[in-house]
Amino acid sequence: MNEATIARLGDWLGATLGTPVRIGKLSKLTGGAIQENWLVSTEGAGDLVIRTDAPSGVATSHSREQEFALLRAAWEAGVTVPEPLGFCSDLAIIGKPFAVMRRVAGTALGHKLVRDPVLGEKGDALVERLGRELARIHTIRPPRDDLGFLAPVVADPASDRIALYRRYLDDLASPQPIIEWALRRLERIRPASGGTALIHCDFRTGNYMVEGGELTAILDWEFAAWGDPYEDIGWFCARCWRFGSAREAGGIGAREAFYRGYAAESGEQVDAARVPYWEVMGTIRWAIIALQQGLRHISGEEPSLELALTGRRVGELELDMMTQLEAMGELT
Amino acid sequence: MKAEPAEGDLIAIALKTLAEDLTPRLKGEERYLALLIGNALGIVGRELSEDGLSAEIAAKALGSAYGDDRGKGLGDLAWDIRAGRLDGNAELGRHLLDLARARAALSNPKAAASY
Repeated sequence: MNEATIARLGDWLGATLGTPVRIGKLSKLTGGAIQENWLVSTEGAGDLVIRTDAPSGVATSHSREQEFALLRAAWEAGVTVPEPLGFCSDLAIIGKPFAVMRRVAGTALGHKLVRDPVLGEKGDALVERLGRELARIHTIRPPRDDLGFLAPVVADPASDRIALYRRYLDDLASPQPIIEWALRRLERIRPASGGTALIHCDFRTGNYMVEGGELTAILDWEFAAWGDPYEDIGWFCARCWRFGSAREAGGIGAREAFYRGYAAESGEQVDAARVPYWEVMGTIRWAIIALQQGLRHISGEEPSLELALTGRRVGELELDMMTQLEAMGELT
Repeated sequence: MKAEPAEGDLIAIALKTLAEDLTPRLKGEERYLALLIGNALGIVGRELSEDGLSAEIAAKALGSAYGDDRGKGLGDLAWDIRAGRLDGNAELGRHLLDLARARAALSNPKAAASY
């Protein structure tokens, strides 16, 4: 951003926050293929984060404005998220729409968190807290005018997911009989809908910030949707999101502690028997995402060793989903 | 006549050199890239030395589904599974689990061994 842009941004922040704002340092944060995050140090409003589209943004998730609406809904529901401060759709300010939120301290790196000695002690407390947070997210129920952009559940949440993943499989270059087998098993044993709520859809270690063993924010709302709350519980506990740790709740703590937190906030016990179904569904989802990432390399759209290797992760994910089905007594 | 050292040998020494002589000297993003290169070379090395196990299991899976009908391939298998035409074929389920195990052993042997 040049000086004129920074001056316009400062004026806009001042008008939006109702206090004079002078921008000091501005630096781009790492991470985010779809969006850009800028840390903005100010006099008058403290440290802020500006979130906007990356130049090569992929249109597979919500727009920044929709993401901001989700963040605001979560904030109002009492979920620990970065405080949403404003959204600017005026292209005259920095050239593209952007959201402003308060900066939150901490790290989100999953492979670091699961090896953090502090969390070796406080892991159960953290996942209990995360269980509470997730239950708060699930208090947001349709219909909601502010979230009108979210697609309604058409059949039931599980059937919708199966149909979606089959559409994704059809767009891939090669047939995937193992994933098809797992999906067909889930279709045959699909549970009755557990009700529809706002689900985060990427609620996992790696997408929340922790400082000194304490939760500071839940991030990455761009995939949130109406769905079955158990989808989030399964995604959080799925083995593929434990970063090699033996602890079953996100690689951080005990599953029971996570469930306990969820129950304490929601007033309803987690039905542990319902979770494995959604863990398999989550593993299938991750396998398909891995294949899509690999295809970005294969197609020549974005030649990348990292994307190519992500495509090869499908091997371990297939083994994961099949052994889970076997453990459930549902391999055939 | 095959040139020597053979491909598997070349991959093995390249991996050893990368792991012992290069990667320990790197930090941050460069170290990460070196690890990715090692990972990719490792997969290639294992696939070069594989004795055709995955293809053998895939053939067994097709045999379970279609018997002696040799005109069918994995695309047919995927489609027939989705359509429910192979529901209840326990032998096919076992073969697909074995196939997953063989494929995972090539792409990530450490992960595969943990199941």
